[in-house]
Amino acid sequence: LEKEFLHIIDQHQGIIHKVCRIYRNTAEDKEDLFQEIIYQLWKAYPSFNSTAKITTWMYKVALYTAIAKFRNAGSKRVFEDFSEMEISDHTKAICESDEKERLYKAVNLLNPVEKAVVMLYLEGYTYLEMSAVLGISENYAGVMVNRVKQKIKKLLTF
Amino acid sequence: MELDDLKEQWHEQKPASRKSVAEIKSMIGKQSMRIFFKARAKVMIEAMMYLLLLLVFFTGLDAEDNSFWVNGLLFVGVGISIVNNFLLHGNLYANRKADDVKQSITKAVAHFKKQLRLQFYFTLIFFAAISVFFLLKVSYNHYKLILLGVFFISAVAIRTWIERSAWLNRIKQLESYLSDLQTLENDEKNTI
Repeated sequence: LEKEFLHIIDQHQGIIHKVCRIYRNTAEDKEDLFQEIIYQLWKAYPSFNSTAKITTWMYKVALYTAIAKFRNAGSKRVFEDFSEMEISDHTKAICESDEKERLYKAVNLLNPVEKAVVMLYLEGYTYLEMSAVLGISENYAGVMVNRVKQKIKKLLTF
Repeated sequence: MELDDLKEQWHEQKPASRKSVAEIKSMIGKQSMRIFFKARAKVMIEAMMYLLLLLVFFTGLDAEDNSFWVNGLLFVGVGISIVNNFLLHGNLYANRKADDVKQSITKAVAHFKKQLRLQFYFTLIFFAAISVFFLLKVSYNHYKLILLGVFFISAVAIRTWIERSAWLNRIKQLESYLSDLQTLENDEKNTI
C-alpha cells in the first residue's frame, strides 16, 4: 500500500505544489502545507475508491487541508492584511508587476473557496468535476467560475 | 488579460523543489512534522501538569484519609481531561474519507463543536472532583461553602472561556467558508 501511495504522489506531486503556491505565501508555510497534505493524503488513502480519478481525490484532500488549515499565523496575517487593504493599496501592489504576475496577485486576494474554484478552472476541470471536488451542484460551479472571473477582472481594472 | 490567459502557464509550471520518494516517505510519519510536533508538545505539557496536580493531591494533601470514591473521582477527572486533550489535538485535521470539500468542512465543524461540548463536561467533572476533595476534608461553614462555590463556578467559567475563545474562532472561520458554498447553492435554488 505504501509503495503504491508513494508512486502516486511522486507522479502527481505537481498538484500539491500548485495548491501550496496558491494558498501560502512564504517558502516555510508552503513546505509545512506540503507536508500536511501528504500526511492527510496518506491517512485518507485507504478509503480511496480506485475507480475514481486519482487527481480528483488528491484535489479534494489537498484543498480541504489548505482551506481548513488557513488560520496559521503567517498566512492569516497576510490574508487579513489584504482583506483590510483599500482598493488603492491593491492597485499599487498589482501595478508593480507584469501582466501575469498581476493576475496571480489578484488570485491571491481571493478568499480560500474562490481560490479553489480558480485552481480547478485553471487545471481544466469541467463544472461536473468541480462540483465533485467542492460538493456543490454542477450549475453552480459554473456560476462560481463566472463570479470569480468577474471579481478578478474588477481587481485588475483598479 | 483574463483568467484564461493563465491556463497555459499554469500547466507548464514546474515545482520549485520536486520532492524525492524518500522525502515523501518521511512525511507520512507524523513525527517528522514541525506542526504536529508543536501540537504534541502542548498536549504533553498539559498532561504533565495534570499529572503533577494529581501527584500533589495524592501525596501532599492527605488523600489517604479520603474515601475511595473521592480519590477515584479526582483520578477520573484528571484522566478524562488528559485523554480529551490527546483526542482534540490528535484529530485536528484528520479527514480520513474521500469526502468533497464541503462535506469535509461540515464534518470538521461538527467535530470541533462536539469536542468543545465534551471539553465543557470534562471541565465540570474535573473541578467538581477538586471541590469534593476539599469539601470532605475541611469542616465547612456557610462562608467557606460559598467560597468553594465561587471557586468552582469561576474555575469552570475561565477554563471554558479559554477553550471556547481558542476554538470558536476556528469554527467561525470554517463556517464562513461553508456558508460561501452553501449560500451559492441557496442562491441557485432561489433562481430555479
